[in-house]
Amino acid sequence: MSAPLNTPLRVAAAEPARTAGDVDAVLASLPVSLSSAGDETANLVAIGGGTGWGSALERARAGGARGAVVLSPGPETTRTDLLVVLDREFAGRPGVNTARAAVAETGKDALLEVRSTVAPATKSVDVVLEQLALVRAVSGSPVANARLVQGSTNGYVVRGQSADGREVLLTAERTTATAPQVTVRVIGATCAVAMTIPQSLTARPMNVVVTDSSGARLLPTQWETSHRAAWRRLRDAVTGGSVPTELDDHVADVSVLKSCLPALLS
Amino acid sequence: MTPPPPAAPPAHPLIGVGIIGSGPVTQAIHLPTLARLRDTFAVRHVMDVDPAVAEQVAARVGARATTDVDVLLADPEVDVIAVCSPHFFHAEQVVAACRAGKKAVLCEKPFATDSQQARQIAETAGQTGVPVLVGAMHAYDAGWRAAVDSTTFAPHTIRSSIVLPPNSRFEDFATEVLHRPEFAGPPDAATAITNGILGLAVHDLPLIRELLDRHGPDTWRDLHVVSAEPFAPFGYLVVASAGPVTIELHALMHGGWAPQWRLSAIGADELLDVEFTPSYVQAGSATASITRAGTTTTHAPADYNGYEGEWRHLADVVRGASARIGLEALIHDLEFVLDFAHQSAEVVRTEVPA
Repeated sequence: MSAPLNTPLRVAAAEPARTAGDVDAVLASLPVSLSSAGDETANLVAIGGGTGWGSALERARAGGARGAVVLSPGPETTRTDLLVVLDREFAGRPGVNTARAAVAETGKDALLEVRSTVAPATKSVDVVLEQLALVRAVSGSPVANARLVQGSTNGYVVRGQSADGREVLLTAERTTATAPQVTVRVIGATCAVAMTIPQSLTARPMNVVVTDSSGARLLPTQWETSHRAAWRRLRDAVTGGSVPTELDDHVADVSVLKSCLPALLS
Repeated sequence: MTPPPPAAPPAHPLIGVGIIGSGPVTQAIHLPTLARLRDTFAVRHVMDVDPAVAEQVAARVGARATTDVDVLLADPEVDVIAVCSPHFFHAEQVVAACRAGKKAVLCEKPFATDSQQARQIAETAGQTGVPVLVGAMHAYDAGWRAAVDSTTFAPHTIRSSIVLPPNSRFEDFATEVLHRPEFAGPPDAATAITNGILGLAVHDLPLIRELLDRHGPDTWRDLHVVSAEPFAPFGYLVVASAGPVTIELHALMHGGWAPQWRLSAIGADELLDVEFTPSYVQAGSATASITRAGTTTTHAPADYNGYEGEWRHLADVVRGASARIGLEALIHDLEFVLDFAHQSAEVVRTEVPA
């Protein structure tokens, strides 16, 4: 990936988004594309995804920003003229997109399973929004309907189908035994894809293993956090790339969440 | 030249084995396993309703062949009986083996089709003093045993996930199977889920019940299947609760080559992961790990699988050891399996898919 030779876009990042989104490290790793705005007007803004992030987007637009990265947005929805990229810790890993072609080979009859191991304090709504985004990212099709099969303070089991008819299983379990991670399995008649996605605290890559009649192969690893990948997408959009649809996708996922899985909103 | 000294007599006399039923399980599992234990066991007599199969399977091990269970039971060289016939004959044959005064009986799972039959077996075994073991390969897997004995945590979630190619792929690595049963065609959904639980989940449900016991000895009786669905061509997804524990059972048979059979138990601060080797092949035990506070301890696999573990334990029992899994526990295991299958079939009959 070559860097564009132009003036860096100015980035503003207030706490807690600055720390949670690892913005300083991202700027250090994209020094030709991005720089800290300091006291100048920001071109791009980092926004935390907690309550009120929609209002924060509007304030950024009013302040002259052209785009924003929203970090792990919660279940509120908004529309804006800004170019908006969502920074999702697991679904935003660049390896997820690499896996999509392999997932297509598994066929529409394949079962798609997303299993999240999370810390005890993690809210179910944040876990399931991440999972809905992951299903869309790996399969190219969103979850169209879902139902909560089992839920407790320790986790949940959700069954559903994607818009293109694929069977989907979403599970979550809370534990302190291990670091949070997500595993994805897509099991087709003769081809299977297995992914292990670590946290984005570091650039430790996700693994994607495709198993078919010729053997099992590890797809090329990508040593990039979801945070850096999100800022690259926003940079590309602002400098003439395609307009991101992530905000619209989020609105659709929240709609499914509210209509099918209201018990997970709390 | 001085002749070599005579070989030392074996520490124990060979245990004579009689096998009832000579289908793929006998051919691909028990005979190859017993071949690894030639210093302990010798197959003396083989029975099958098909005389040609009985003759050919018996000839492989130099045993006598019969189509009559009573002839096999009357053979004085047969010390222990392996019941490997279709499920619905198990109880009757185990009872007959006990009454024939054999030293022990190993019955393939499930050892009965209802708890009344199971209690009849227990009563007969109690009266005759003949130990009865059930062939639940994972219950005798050394990797599972080592891991589960190294921890006491009570899990809040237990998942059995089985992804398998067709059995024939592994049978063909183990032996050359004579007379494979023909596929009877796809059953209705309720029968499919029952078959799935009695055929595959049955291997892990005794282990799951053992983990549930950590929440109290009767936790397994609190089973509530909340969702059940069959997967084509063979498989299931069942979600249940028992006390505070969520139980997920997944199984998928597919056309690929890669098997994965994993039992996971998740607790508030501990994880147990057991990766089993496929049935049929002599690939050693499971590899099992415990993770606490980010540190994983892995138990290296033993060089024998759960089937061999069953036979090793049977030898110990013949020589006077107590059966590791008592009859009351075997009955509870069966009742748990049957309750799982029954509730799942009921849910399938009434559930509207998402």
